[in-house]
Amino acid sequence: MLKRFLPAVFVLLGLLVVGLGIASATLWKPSPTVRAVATPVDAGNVVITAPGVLDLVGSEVTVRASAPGSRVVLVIGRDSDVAAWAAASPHVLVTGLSSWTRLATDSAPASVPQASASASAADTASPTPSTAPTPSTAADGGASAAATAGSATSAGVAPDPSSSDMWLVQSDGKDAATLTWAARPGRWSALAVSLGTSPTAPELELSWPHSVTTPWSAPAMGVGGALLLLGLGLLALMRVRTRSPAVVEAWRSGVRIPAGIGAESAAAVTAAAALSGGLTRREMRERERAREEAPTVVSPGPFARLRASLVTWALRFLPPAAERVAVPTATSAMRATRSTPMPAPAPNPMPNPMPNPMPNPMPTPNPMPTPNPMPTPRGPATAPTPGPAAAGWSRVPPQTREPNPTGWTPGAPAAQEAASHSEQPGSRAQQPAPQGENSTPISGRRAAQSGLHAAGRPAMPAPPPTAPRWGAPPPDSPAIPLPPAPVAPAPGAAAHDPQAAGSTRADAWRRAWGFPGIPDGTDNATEDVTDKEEGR
Amino acid sequence: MSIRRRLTSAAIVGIVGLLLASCAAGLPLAHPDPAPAVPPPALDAKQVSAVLAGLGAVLKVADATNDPAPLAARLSGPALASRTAEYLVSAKLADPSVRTELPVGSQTVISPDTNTWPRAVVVVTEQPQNLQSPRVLTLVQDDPRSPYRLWGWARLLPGSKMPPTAAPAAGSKPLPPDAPGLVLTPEEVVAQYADVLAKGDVSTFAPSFAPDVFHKQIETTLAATKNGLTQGLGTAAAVTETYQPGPGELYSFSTLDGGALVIAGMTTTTSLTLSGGKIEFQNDVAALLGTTTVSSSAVFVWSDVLVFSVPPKGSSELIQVLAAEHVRTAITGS
Repeated sequence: MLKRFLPAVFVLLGLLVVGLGIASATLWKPSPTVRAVATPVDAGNVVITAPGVLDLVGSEVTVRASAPGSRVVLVIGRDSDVAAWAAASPHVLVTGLSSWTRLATDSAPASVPQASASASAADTASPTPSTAPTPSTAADGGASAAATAGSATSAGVAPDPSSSDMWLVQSDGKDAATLTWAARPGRWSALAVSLGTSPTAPELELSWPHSVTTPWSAPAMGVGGALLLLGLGLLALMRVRTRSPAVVEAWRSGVRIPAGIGAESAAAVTAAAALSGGLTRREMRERERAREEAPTVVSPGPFARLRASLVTWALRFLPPAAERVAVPTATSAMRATRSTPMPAPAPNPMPNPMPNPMPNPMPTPNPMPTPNPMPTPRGPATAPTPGPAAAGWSRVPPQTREPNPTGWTPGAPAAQEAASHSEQPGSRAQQPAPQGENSTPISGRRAAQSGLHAAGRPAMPAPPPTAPRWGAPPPDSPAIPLPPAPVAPAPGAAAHDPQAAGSTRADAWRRAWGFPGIPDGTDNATEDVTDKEEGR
Repeated sequence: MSIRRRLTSAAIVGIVGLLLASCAAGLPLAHPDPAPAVPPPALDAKQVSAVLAGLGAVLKVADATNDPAPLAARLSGPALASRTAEYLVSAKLADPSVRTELPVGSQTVISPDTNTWPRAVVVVTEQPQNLQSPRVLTLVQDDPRSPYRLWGWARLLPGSKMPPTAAPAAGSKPLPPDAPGLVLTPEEVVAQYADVLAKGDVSTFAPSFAPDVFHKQIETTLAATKNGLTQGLGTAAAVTETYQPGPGELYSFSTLDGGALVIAGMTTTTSLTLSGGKIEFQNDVAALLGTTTVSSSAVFVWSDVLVFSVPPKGSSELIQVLAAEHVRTAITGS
């Protein structure tokens, strides 16, 4: 099961990762400004930042303190100075980021309640208010008076800090104050004080311009692309391995319906063509699976019921029953017709009573007269272009014969292959039994049934047996010894002019995919084949 | 199959982990520079200039009307008392020259390396326009919420040379009153100098101090006063003078040669007692006194600021008075 869906999973995963990578560089690209806010907590009218907070994200910070309805003074000074200034009042300490948009805060009570304030007031007691301007350009003229008076104000409400000489930069304004600060060596803190009749702690906002990088886009695109390619490659590989002759035939019939095939046969072909053309691959796969479930019920196995239930479930998604029924019927007719010249199927331990509308790609050796064991150039060229009708998804059983990995080798030495095939029943018996391997029940079973299908459809040359690279049952899967597959009909098939059939099939593929016709002799051969079939 | 499955699941796990990792980028933490072992200077040169500018602005406003009210914003201690007295005299005599000219341009700045309060910054000013000697200003911040205020000023005495001190960018280490490593601790310096002033050369501490102009002036003034009273009233008048270091008015900084610069406040009280006759005062004294004649007693209170250069322990050099100020802040009498 997993094997079957893995390519799709890879493709989807690849698309997902690529999409995530793109999104990380576009949709989710971090803002070039990190902006974090500390909302006022009711702890006095002072907010300060801990050392290091100002250059938390970037070296240049814009500090904004706002308290609607109040005059706001914003200063930056040495951390110890700011902390000492604020200590006399309850205040809020900004300690860092709690998220990318929120500042973490801490409330601190007045640690030096009135002690220094009263001392200062005693020291600087002055009968008249001071109106001295402060050295700072940002401070207004009344700042000193406010500070002087502030020393004697009640604890809890901090005075105007702008008269102090300790700050490096300061700013003030109605409702809000803003200043920028470039990081410099040392420990620095910001101090914001709201001043008014009943001031509350101002809201402090820090924003840093910061260089945005998208470190995940390139890796995600790379990984996603690799996954995508892997998935697509696997899909293509599976198509090649699972091309069904019936599909080919259906396609060929779309081009030209052989005259030798009877009415039922033509109808069946048409139905098959309609089936392959009108349904999605998944639907076709599920139909096929559904049709193939019948023998599973017959065959003993703990997974039969599970499969049956799965099929029952899957059938709910299929078109009405009429259509479903029609297909096997027609195919059955076709099969009956076409299997006439064939000898009766060899005894099969797992008989498949259901007609198979899509005959399996059979390991049956293709008895080609061409002595060339090498794949023809056009064989591999057409192989990786599986049509939508190649819906079999069935696996060709692993072969003992390895030299021909491509699905289309018309020039395979038929007799030799047939001999090797029939001479090595033990190797075939190594194929996993369908009941023994849950993940590949169908392919395994189909593999076991390959002999049956081969016997049933000798006239239709199947692709040469190949070992699917991917999806093949592992060698360590439980091997249920099977009787030697009835590959014997292969020589018989050779007698039935397999050369012509093979050429016809290849030509049908080429035409179906818009390739030019087979040049010279091969093309003629195709015509000959057609003629022969028509005359059959 | 098992290998393939393992590989597949490993790949999936890796990808999912990659995605999760990308979402979970950590928040930056505050990484401030480590707190230095030696605190940085309380004020840098620019800030000191700002403080001086503020002081200058306050003085300018106050000087214009001889009004001491604005002074509190930027003056305190002996400086505030002295300036207030000067305004009083200046107003009554309509003579601005009785006020001490206080330039606010700086030659040398001593900024303390401290995180505590009070903090004191020392500034040697430019030469005043009246070509008097430069002033040594001591600006003190009492607590974190106070501005720096001029605590006291002193005139550099002729021939005195400031000990080398660290640049304001580096800052100078403030010393406690009992700082060791000096020939005398700062508080001993002040106490012993007061003793020397009171007793003159007979003081046991006199050998520790180099002869200085301030001491000479004190002696001269006192001698002149005694002389005048004796000439006018004979034995009916007696003059005594006491020198009392101001409590807590002591600011010390280490210098580059290992010694210290000690700035101390002192109160000099001159008491006149009359057993007969009367004394008539004029000008500034009369202005401060509020009347011109006293018949029983008069008390002059002087606010002094003294700047000492204290050599390090083991040095053969003597303690020097670099700068001093002696301003009459109050006179009471009857």
